[in-house]
Amino acid sequence: MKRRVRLVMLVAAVLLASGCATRTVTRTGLDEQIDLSGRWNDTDSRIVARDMVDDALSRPWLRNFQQARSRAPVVLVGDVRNRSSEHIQTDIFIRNIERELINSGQVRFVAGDSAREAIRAERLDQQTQARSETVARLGAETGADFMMYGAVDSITDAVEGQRVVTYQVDLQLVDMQSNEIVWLNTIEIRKLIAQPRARW
Amino acid sequence: MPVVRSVPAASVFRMTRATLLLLGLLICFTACTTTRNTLFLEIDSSAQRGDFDGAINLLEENERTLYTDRDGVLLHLDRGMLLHFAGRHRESVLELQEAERLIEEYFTLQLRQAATSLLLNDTAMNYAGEDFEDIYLNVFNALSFLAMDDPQAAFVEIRRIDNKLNLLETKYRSLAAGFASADQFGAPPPDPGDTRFYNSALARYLSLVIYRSEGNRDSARISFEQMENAFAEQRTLYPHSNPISSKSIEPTDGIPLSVIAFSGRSPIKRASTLRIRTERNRVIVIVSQEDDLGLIPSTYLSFEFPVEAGYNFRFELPRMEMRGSEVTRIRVLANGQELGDVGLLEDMQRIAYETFQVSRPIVFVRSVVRATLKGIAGQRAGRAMEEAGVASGSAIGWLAGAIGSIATDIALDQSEQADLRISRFFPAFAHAGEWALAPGTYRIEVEYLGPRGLLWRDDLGDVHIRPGSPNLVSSFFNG
Repeated sequence: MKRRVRLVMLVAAVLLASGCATRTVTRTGLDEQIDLSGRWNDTDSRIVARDMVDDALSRPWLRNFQQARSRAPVVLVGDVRNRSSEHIQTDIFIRNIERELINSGQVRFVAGDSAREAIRAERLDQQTQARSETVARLGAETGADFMMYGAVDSITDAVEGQRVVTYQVDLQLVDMQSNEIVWLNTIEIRKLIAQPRARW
Repeated sequence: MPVVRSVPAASVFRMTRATLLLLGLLICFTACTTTRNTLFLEIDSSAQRGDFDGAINLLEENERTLYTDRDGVLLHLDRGMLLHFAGRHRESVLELQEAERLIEEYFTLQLRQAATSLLLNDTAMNYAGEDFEDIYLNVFNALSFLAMDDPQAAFVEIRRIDNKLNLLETKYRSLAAGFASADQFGAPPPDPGDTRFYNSALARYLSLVIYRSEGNRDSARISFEQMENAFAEQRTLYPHSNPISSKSIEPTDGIPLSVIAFSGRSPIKRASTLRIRTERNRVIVIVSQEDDLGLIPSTYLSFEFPVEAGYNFRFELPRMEMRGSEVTRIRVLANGQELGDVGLLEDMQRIAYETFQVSRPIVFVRSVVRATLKGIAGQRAGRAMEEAGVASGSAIGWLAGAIGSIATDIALDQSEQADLRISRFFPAFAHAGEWALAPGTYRIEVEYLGPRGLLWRDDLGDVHIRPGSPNLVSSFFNG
């Protein structure tokens, strides 16, 4: 009889333990590093963008330009190609770079090509639709002095249950007039993703 | 002199009633997958008529019947493939990506499910996808991205295939080694075999087309060389010649139009019934094969095992059955003018078959050991019930014992089922061809011909051929 009671209690405990698994949501700080799947995530995007811009702004090209032209350079962020084996939203990464550049206050910044197209269409529309005193002038855009572009590559080495992914982000800054590469940098992120073969 | 102990009839009856209830539940639980192939007849028929939207509707209406909670991979693969063929590429990509995510997640075995499957059969575990499914889902995602004019995303899919092919060769070797080391019963160790599929000409061709469209000649050349390697190093899988020539690396006489045409239907799994008979310390596996005289049992395998003589029970194993295609020729037309035929690039059903064969020894050993242990325990329980019934000395007790014993046998037979789960809507063959055209817009049609003429004409509509674009179209016939 005692054995039967113990058995019933054990079964009930197991059922209760398995039944308690409900979904919980915890708000976290944006700076907190959270890695779930091991894929490229918002933390990677933010950290790489910040480190890249910090590096770019600490190099001689900026000082040289400011001395020569007596003004802050105008920078445009072009395409960052995704050559990895993951669907990385490079537009988010580009936005992160743009934000870091603008917030640095050391460079001026012009909109990228997709935004530029929309603005140009709107400006053209203004020529016929808006009051003359409010119309934005054609041909008065600020030209970029430098263009930043690059690529995200990844190399995967894997065996059963373990995977090492190395992301390599390459960015370079090119002088729009001379095609001279004035700065380039590579940042690597390596992730070891281990997945257990079994769990209860 | 045997000792006969008297047992009250009521206690035999109580025991048998509880056993019957348990066995009834077992039968109900395990009977759900017995007709998996027949459940799909109507959906298969819609897909074969080219009515993919109709097939999707049928699948969604009957989702609860066709798929259990453990079949998420299959649900997303089937829906993803039908959506792809219906031209609903964005939805297809989402479905196939979810299937891929689940395949990755189900790599981790749930011990709770494994324990259940040890008592019942492999269908109690999450379906983690066959290797060919894991690889080809990326091929069709790549084609969907190309159809959506996003070659960069298509290339991500190609790179994923590359990573998976690299992993494939080591995968079963370690799994089989684990089984061999855990083998405590003297059963024959599984032979992991040689997967032989570690390079896909189809995937390499897709990467060639994308590199070429980017003007990356070196990478296009490397892709072509890898495609040639797939043919040279995997002769069993690629006994035919490569339909793509080295001229395709850098065509000089126009802009290349690339056509990939898929035909037929991927293999399905069917159940083979085998019997196990025991002699003293020996298990004998018997397979019955049909010939003109009927079913002839023959010894398939025997091995040492600590067991008494005289046990006899059945079990099932999955086998793969190719469904092939009735297509014998595929020709491509541009603006009504015949361009030529596409040639066989990849025998996808053979690759499915070969990769399945790798896991077959493992499934075999698992099934034999499970069936033996379960069968012995069940038949001992059945005999105990019979003996208790006889010992009770009453007719009701005897009857209850006999029924309990028979029910045990039925439940054991019912629970030992083959895992027949497999996706149904991948094609059997991939064909490819290329033609150099002048830039412009062409109405492209693909005709599928059988021994008695035209089977299906796929009108792909107007295709814009322009430099710097992959200019790749894909077509499909489910017959």
